[in-house]
Order: sequence, then structure tokens, then C-alpha cells
Amino acid sequence: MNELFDKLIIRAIFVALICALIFAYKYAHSFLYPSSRLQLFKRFYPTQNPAQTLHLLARIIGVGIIFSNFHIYMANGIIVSILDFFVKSIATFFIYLASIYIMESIVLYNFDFSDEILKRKNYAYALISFSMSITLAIIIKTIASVSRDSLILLFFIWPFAIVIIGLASKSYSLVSKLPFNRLLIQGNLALACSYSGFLWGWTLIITSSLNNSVNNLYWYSVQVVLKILLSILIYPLFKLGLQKIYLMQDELGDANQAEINRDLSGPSIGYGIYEGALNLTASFLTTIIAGQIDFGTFYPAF
Amino acid sequence: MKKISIYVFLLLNFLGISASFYPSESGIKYVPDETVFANYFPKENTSLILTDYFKTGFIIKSYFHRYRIIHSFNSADEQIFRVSKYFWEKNKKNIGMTIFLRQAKDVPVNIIPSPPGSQFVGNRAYGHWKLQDSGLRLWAFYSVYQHFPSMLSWGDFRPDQKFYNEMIMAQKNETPFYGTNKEFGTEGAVTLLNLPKKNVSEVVVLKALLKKRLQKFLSLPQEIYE
Repeated sequence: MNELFDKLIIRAIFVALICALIFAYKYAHSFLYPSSRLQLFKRFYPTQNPAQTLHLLARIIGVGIIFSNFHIYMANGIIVSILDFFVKSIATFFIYLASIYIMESIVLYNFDFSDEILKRKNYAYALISFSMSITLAIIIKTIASVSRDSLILLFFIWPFAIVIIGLASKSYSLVSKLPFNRLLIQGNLALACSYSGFLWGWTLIITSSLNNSVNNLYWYSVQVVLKILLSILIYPLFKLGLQKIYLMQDELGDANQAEINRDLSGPSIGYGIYEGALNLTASFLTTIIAGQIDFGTFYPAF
Repeated sequence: MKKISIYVFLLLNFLGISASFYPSESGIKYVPDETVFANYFPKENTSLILTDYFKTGFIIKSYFHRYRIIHSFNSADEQIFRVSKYFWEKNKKNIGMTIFLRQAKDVPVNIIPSPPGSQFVGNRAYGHWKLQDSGLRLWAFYSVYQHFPSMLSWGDFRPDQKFYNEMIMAQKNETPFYGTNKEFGTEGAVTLLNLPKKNVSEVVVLKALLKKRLQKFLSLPQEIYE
């Protein structure tokens, strides 16, 4: 029973350590985002501003996703495992916060957090921010797993991944007819759903591409780029296939950009769900073709 | 209150189920003190030499002893026992010593720490006193028992008659005997030579491990270099 109780106590210590690290993360977050300082340090009432709730909880879910990747090895003693955990947590928190900052600067450069969330309660902004926080957490989790305790590898793969997701986020105008900035100012939920699906889809493709063992940095980079290019080639085929199979009519597809811009009410939420779900499904299916076909000895090596 | 009750109930369930299926709970015998060995080892000509001790756990420690079980006519076995803290602390000086000895079924067991193989020294069934050039008489096992010195972790040590006499005296007085020149026990020269305890400082080990971990953080994985 001694060992059982001792293990239970060690687990309780790690619970306390994780809570302490989340507390530290809260402060780190406030340094990087001074505008959210008020939001973080005053009492929080989830029902007062649902947009703010969504925005804040996305970051917390993100931290949870990142932590879920950590493994604690006790064989070398508790001090070493705590140090291990601490170093990995600090490094991943740093790159997580920096990733959110970079992505918000790329995607939401026209918008200000306090205007959109605190003053206007913009649900579309909150939903896009929610998706961004979670998708970035999933990407960081994959990077942390691939870099296997090496901070050097972590700081090599991270900018690489951020460049890819940054470029990917700019391709939204190629896959959707929805004008991003105009609809986001309106707080249009169709845009939020569509963009979230798009972002989730890209995240699936990027994580699937990044998730290779790193034996050689040059070949790893080549492999990731090739997988992403392959995914870009396959993705439209699935999208088209799904549209044809389910006879989905793209109502905005036939309208030209001028007509869409004239429609002041913006597209219905159904259109956003359609686009988002289609993007997500096509990405899921793309990852099978791009990353999960094992040729084995199908082509024997001579 | 209801939530706390449910929490406590689930905690007890977890502990109960874990304890039932925990492998080491059923595999290792618990020894609160040396008197219990008599129940575990009923056969005659059996002795236990303490070869190592260690503890596990972070806050709630478990204490362990590793013993070499010596039978006169069988090969030696190794066995680990979980022991009480009292028994563990009491025997910290006794590595390499016989902690338990049962010579015959009807004779009371000996639980006073004595040098390993004390039951064989002076017993004509196992060997004889051999006169050396120096004039000393040293104990020599018969050729059929020539593996005994290594089994008892004696190395090149052979007891002389003075050692034997002092050992008998200590047994009569029921006091521990570590050798004429304290050859046995954790700090004994013979034990240190033949049963070395890894006495590396915990701080040194921790420093080495921390250094290794930091090096791992600040370098690329090994496969990338290969």
C-alpha cells in the first residue's frame, strides 16, 4: 500500500505543479497581450460576455491540449522529472503565445481585441480566435512531440510550421468567396464557421505532414513540404467529389464578388457551416491519401 | 458534502482495486523484524546474509532488504523482502552479515548478526584448521565445499582461530560480532571488497542527471548526428 499512496501523492504534486504552471502562463499571457490584462485579472463571469468567455476559454483549452502531450518519467527521480516538465512547459508556452501573437498579426491585423470582444461582443471574432488558439495548440503539440526533448529541434521546427500555417491562412480567399474583413466587422457567423473549418482543415494537413520522425533535418523539411504540396493537390479533388456526391449547390459560387459585397445582411450561417464542414472533411480525407498509404514492399527496391 | 462523499468513495475504490491487482503487493514478503524469518525458513542449515538494502518512494518510503539464502547442500538463492523502517535502520551497518541462522530444527534460531558462514567455521563436517607457514591456523573448507568462500563473499579472507574464539564468545554473550579487525559489516574491509555497496552521493547522482537532461534539451537527438 505504501507505493500506492506514494504514487497518489506524486500525482497530486504534479496536479499542483500543472496548476502553478497555468498560473505562470496567465501572467506570461498578460505580458504579451497587455490589452487582455483586465480580462485576466478581474473576476470572470462567463455569462456576462459569451464572446469573451469563448475567447478566454480557447486559450485555456489550448494549454490543456499542449499539456496532454507531456510524459513524466520518474525513473531518474522527482527533481529531474520536475525540471524536465518545467523546461518543456516554459518552452512550449513561449512558442504557443508567440504563435498566437504571430497568427493574430497575420489574420486579424485589422481588428483589436478590446474593440471586438469587450465592446462589440463580436462572436465571429471570438469563434475565429477560438479556432486559432486550439489549432495552434494542436500544431505546437505535434511539434513538441516530433522534437523529442530537444529545444534546438523545437525552435527549428516551430518557425517552419508557423511559416506554413501563416501562408495557409492567407489562402482563404482562394477556397472561399466570403470577404473575410468585411464579414468579420459585421460579426457574421457564416464567415466564422467557414474560416474555422478552413483553419481546422489546414491544421490536420500540417500536423499530418509534420508528424514524421526527424533523422535528418534537410530530408525532414523536404518530406514536410512534399506532403503539403501533395495535400494541396488532393484536397480540391475530395472537395469537388463531396459536392458532386451530395449534390450540394454552392449558391454563392454563381454570384460574383460585387453581388456578395452588395448583400448587406451577409451570407446565411448555413453557407458557413457548408463551407467549413466541406473543408474539414476534405482535409480529413486528404490526410489519408497523403500520409496514410504505406507502400511497404509494393515497389521492391533493387 | 455529497460530492466529497462521492470523491472519497471513488478514492477508496481506486485504492482497493489497485491494491488487489498490484503485483508487488502479493509477490514480496513483509518482515517487521528478524524473528519472522523463523516462519519463512523452517528448514535446517539455512542462513540469510544481508547483501543490500534500499528504499523506494518519494514521501511514503518503502524499505527493502536483499538477502542471499545459504543452504549447506544447495546453491544459494537471492530474495528481496520489504522490511519495517525500524528493522531497516537497525541493519544499516550489517551488510555482508548473517542476520538469521537456523542450524538444526530443534535448536533455537540465531538472530544476532554474525559473520557470513559462522555456522561452518570450526565445524569438522565442512573443513579443518590448516597450519600456515606463519604459524597461524586458518580455516580451510574441504574441496567439496570449495565454492563456499565465494558464496559467502569472503574473497581471500580465511578466519583464524582467534576470530573463531571471539565469534563463539560473542554468540554466547548474544552480541553482534563483526570480525577481529571489523572485517565484516557495511564498513568492513572484506565486505567492501566483495560486496561493495554503491555509496555514491545522491547529490552527485542528481547533478549528473540534471547535466545530462540539460545537455539533451540543448542538443539535437542522437539519430540526427548518425
